[in-house]
Amino acid sequence: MYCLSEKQIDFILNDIRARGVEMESLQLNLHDHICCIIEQNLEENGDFESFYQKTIKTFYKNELWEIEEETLLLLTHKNYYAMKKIMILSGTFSAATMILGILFKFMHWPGASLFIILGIGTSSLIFLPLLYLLKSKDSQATKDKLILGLGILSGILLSLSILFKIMHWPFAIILGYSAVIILGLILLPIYFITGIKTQENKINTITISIVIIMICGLWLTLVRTPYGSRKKEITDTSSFLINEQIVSSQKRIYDSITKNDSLESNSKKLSKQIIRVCEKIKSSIILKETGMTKISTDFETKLNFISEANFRLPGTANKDVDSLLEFIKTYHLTLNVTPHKTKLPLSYQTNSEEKIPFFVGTNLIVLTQLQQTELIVMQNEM
Amino acid sequence: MNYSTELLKGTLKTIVLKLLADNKKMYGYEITQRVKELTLNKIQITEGALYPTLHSLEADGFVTTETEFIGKRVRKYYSLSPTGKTKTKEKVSELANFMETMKFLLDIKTKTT
Repeated sequence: MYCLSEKQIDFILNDIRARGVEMESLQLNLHDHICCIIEQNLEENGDFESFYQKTIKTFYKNELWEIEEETLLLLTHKNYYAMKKIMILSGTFSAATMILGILFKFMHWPGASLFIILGIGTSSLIFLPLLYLLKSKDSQATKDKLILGLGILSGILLSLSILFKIMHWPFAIILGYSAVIILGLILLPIYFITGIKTQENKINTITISIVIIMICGLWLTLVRTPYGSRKKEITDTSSFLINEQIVSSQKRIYDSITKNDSLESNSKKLSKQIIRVCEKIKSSIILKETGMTKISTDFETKLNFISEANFRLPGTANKDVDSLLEFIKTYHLTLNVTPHKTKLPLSYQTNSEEKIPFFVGTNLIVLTQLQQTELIVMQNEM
Repeated sequence: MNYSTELLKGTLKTIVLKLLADNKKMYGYEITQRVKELTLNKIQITEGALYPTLHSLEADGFVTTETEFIGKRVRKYYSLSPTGKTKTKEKVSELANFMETMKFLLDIKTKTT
């Protein structure tokens, strides 16, 4: 039995490191293993150097670090299977929820948007990134990885942009434009130039390039141009302004008629409160949209537009909404006595018979509903 | 006779797990020697196969390690974790079942005494 000196033990460990084994636990394994073999098999006065070189050669085919490579392969292989499984599961899940979401949407069943959010969310945040991780392992060249990455990235951005758009969340258009720019101006040139060079890929490259152009084209066809958006904002805002003029001229007449009433009926009192709260809510919406309490006729030069943002008010204005709904409810009770008057066609209760929900939709819709409320109430009381 | 590496590849995990189940804790060199001994030199586990397998079993949580200093060098002892114990039973019975099936499939007549 051979007795290894400390120097020899250090030499072996350093040699294992020098041969490219980097994992510390594997270094220790191999170190102890070789020391054991030498101690067991080398005679007491044997030649350490040549025996060591002979022994270490039996550990590998070409290089010692093959063992580390094999270890890492086994370790990542496990993740690989788990990732593959998650990818298939998330893909199936997102496809199923997408189909359900679309079905619910067209059938007008509740819960459609939840399914659609889940479907697009899972596919763009779990399925597509995993697809990239797994597919990029297969492709060796950096160029292929880049093309795959850019393609998947623009896919993620495009689907998120559509999700954000339908949910009226901010940055939808920016997401979409970034996707199209990446797809059309970065990915397409790289893909086309590298692909067209090789004879066997020519047809493939041309067809896929056409598909990419079509995807970009279809998306750009679908979205409104910046000019179109401005035009719509102008139309919306001026239509709101015209309504405002009608409301205010009606209000002048209404005020002059009711001014001399010595005995105000209950419904008349309520109508005035309704009008007051409506005005208050309108100005808080406009304040939030434009930073001003009122929109003037020169809104185009001042760039005070009503956007397509969904109606959402800060906490203080919510109190106004609540009191308006309460006033309308009481107002409707007084209307039961006088059947010739028009009820407000807006539902302020979830189980109400009226079909149009109040305070749901874009700011423009809510503003219009408030104007309609004012007009109906005034007509009723004149 | 030495068995082909393909044949050993699928059974190495089971061999290592079973050895660890029979011996409380073992280190790498000990495992290779024990296998050599028990199989009368018929099965020789290479270092290149053993250590990746041990690392993979460790990553799966089937074995745990403890280190011990032997003079100037460090020795890593492997022992079964509770999940490793159940896994060993599964793997051994799976392999036994597999061998029965292979016997039948390849029509190997076993000597009856």
